[in-house]
Amino acid sequence: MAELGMQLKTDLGTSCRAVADRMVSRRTVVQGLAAGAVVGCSDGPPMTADGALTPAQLSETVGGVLTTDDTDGHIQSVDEADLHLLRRISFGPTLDAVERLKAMGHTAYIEEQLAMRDDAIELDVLARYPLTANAPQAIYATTVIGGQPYWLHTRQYQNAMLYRAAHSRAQLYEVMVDVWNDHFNTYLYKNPVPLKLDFDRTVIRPHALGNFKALLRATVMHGEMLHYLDNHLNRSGAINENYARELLELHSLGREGGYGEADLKALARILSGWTYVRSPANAWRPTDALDYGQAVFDAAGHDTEPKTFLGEYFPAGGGAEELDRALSIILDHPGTARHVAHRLCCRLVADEPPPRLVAAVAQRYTATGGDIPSMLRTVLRSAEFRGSARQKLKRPIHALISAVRATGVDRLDQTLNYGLYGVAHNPGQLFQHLEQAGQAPFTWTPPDGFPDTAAYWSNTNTLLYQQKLIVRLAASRSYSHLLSDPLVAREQGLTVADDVAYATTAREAVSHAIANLLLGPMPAEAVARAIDYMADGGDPDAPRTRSELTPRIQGLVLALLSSPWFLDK
Amino acid sequence: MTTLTTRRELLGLPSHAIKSAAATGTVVVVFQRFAADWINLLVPAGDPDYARLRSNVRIDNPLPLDGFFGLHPALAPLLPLYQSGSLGFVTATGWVPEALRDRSHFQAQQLAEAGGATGVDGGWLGRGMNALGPQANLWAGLAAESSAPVSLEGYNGTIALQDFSSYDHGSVAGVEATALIESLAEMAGPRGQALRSLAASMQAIQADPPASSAVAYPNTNLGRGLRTAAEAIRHGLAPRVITVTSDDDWDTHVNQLSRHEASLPNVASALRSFHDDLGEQMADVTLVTLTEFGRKAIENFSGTDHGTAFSMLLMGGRVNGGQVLGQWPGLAQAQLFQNEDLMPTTDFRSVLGEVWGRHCQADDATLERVLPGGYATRANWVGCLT
Repeated sequence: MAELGMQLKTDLGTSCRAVADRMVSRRTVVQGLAAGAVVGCSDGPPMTADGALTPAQLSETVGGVLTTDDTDGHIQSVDEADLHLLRRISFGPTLDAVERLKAMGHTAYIEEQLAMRDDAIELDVLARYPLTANAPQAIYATTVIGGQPYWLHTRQYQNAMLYRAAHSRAQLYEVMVDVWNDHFNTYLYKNPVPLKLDFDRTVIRPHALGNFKALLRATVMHGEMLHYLDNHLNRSGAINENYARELLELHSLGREGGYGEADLKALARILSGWTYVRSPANAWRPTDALDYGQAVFDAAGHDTEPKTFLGEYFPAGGGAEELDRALSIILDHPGTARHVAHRLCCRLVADEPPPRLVAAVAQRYTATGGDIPSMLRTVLRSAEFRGSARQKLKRPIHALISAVRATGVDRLDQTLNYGLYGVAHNPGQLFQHLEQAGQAPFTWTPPDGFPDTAAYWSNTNTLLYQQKLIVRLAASRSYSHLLSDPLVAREQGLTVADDVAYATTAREAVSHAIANLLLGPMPAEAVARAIDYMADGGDPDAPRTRSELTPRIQGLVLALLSSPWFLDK
Repeated sequence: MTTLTTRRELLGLPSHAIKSAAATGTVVVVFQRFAADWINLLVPAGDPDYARLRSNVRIDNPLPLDGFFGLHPALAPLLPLYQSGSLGFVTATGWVPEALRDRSHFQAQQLAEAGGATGVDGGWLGRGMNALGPQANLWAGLAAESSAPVSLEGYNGTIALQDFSSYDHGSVAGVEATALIESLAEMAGPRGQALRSLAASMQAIQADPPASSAVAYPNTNLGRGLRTAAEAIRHGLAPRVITVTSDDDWDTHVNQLSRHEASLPNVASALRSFHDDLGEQMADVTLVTLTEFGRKAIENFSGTDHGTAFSMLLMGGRVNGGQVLGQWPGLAQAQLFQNEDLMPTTDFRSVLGEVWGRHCQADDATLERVLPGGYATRANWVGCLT
């Protein structure tokens, strides 16, 4: 393979056209592989004796074929296993990520992602969305005392989520933040003093790739959760079951975890008296602002009768310590191990994850005391994971962010004024379309978090609003760079390729667009339809000028980014 | 059976085998998500134990209906419909088999929409639609909401649509781009089903857009959904079923009285607007509501926790309205389920079975497939439709 790489090594000194020619010929070699002319061996990319293909054969195999110089460890080809991993542990593959994964191998790349935090993006977020850094006291002071509308905070926070998902290098970290924000879902607008921002900043993010037990304990001790599930009103003599029910069913043991109504009622009484520092209505006191949002135990509101919870006896006269004990029972319970494992496997593997894998991940939970990276390693290294390619459907946020990442359009956002993310609190294009598609960040009202199944998201309304955003993105002339050879454009350091390596026929335009947008393959028959569309009744191999190809770019981009080959993950 | 249907549809075979020619009208199913406290909507004012169980969360001045029940005052716009006979209720509905009762929102919604215990395939409306045979009408199954509900699972032609006026991707590439999307989706088999439905329905709406409703609806999911439902029916799209979500702040663990004061006017207004909007066309429409469970008969202090039995509202020209059907089980301590909940006395599948059976002329064997368990068949109907 090294020899092939040397032979095809890009010479930046040659003309752009020559580079393009060489890229095409190199691509042809690898495309021959996909057509089945495999001579190769089991490790490393297979090879062919003769890679020359006719244009018709070329159309059989478009996609999954990006190649580049391998002499400095860069990608040789994009294989499905790499794309599969990136679709699941990021908000969409980019050429940068593909290249790094290829260079490092799966194991090292996963380790890097598990350890990575992106400080640069945090500075960027702070500059763009400064209110997201506010502590509860500051949120309280500006909204309740200062009279600032709450949505200045909430919208900045929503915009920041989308911005991080698109731009952060720590993609697995952002994916896990998303997972736990679903698992411990609260509704952004329920508390008029939006503590959710602080919940995300001080509870979810610090523990997202840490320990599940610490994470769950932190969620219990935050005003956002206590308010959302009404526990601030759960008092002796007025027991409110809301939090106890969801804590058991959604956050820990799970529906089949082995608890009954009596356990739930006992836990509600154990939780009674736990509230958070808040202000009486229509009054403000600086002392409240100082402690605002802190979880506190009000002994007068605690039910001190004896209780039996999951078989353990809690004698009369108990206080705050009961909750700590109950949480230990919950967190050490095998039901919790299974439920957390199921959540991870559902997100990363399949809507109905293989029970054997769930059991293996649950075993890791128990063995490691809830270490999240350990559980993720078990998932990502499993045969079940490798065998699950394209079995999930991207949710709207993932679908649209991955479109943005695939096109590179985000890098042009400021200059071209797409308004993708929204400046400060203003709603961006992403936010507005996600709202209609059903997934504006943090707006799922009930406590189970946004659904994560194809059955829910594969519907005409969601697809419609995804298409509407893609249309807006694709309306720009600058999108024409998607019809350029991606590798040439990349090696030339271009995001808008101007006339470099620009497609010269309808067939080539489709080939480039697929390589740019899907990275992976699309069936030959589907490719043929796309070529028919671009050729518009003419000869697909006839030379065409850029302006002749341009009018149909938007439709091509729309169709490719709306297709199952892009929306499956 | 399902596979055959799917294949026939994909192949575009003529639907001569349809037995549905005789079936008429539209069933509108409104799901009140996250458990409505029906005890305070359809108030058992005549039950002496009501005031005992609800010392704080109590409606003292319900609008009299039949001498026993009263309507929550914020639902006043519905009273004339009750009085004229086009609106009625079935009280104390739920799962009669105790093993199927569940106080988890998520489990109970799943179960209610599946329409049977674990093991049934898809949703009850999905099975109902498939039992009608292949549907030539693109709009036969319409979800006037942001996603297709579980109840329609199994029927692969559902259109989920919030608003006709924005039902267009807006590409300058227009029809040809839509055709390319459709053609790519065809290659993707079942994974492309929703894309194909979107392309086909979008083209149909662009070619012949429904007129916007002239009646004002509240700006809630229920209001928007019912407006879309009315526009579809008035435009002659002839859906067999339309699903609508009501997420009108039903999960009232705390502050129930003030929250109902705020949300119920919108609920009543949405239902009333739908009725007025359709006018004469309500003759062939039956709207029925359900929720996953009722809330506890015993209040918690300012609200109510998860309970068991609820009530169902029916509206339309065929409704045997102006009365509260069903058996009131009573609120005395010994009459409660597990000492705290209203006891279900009518299985909700009997009501759904009657509505579906009447509208689709489904025989008992079919109804048993749609809503298995022995409660949906004629012998169990409560007479909610005329």
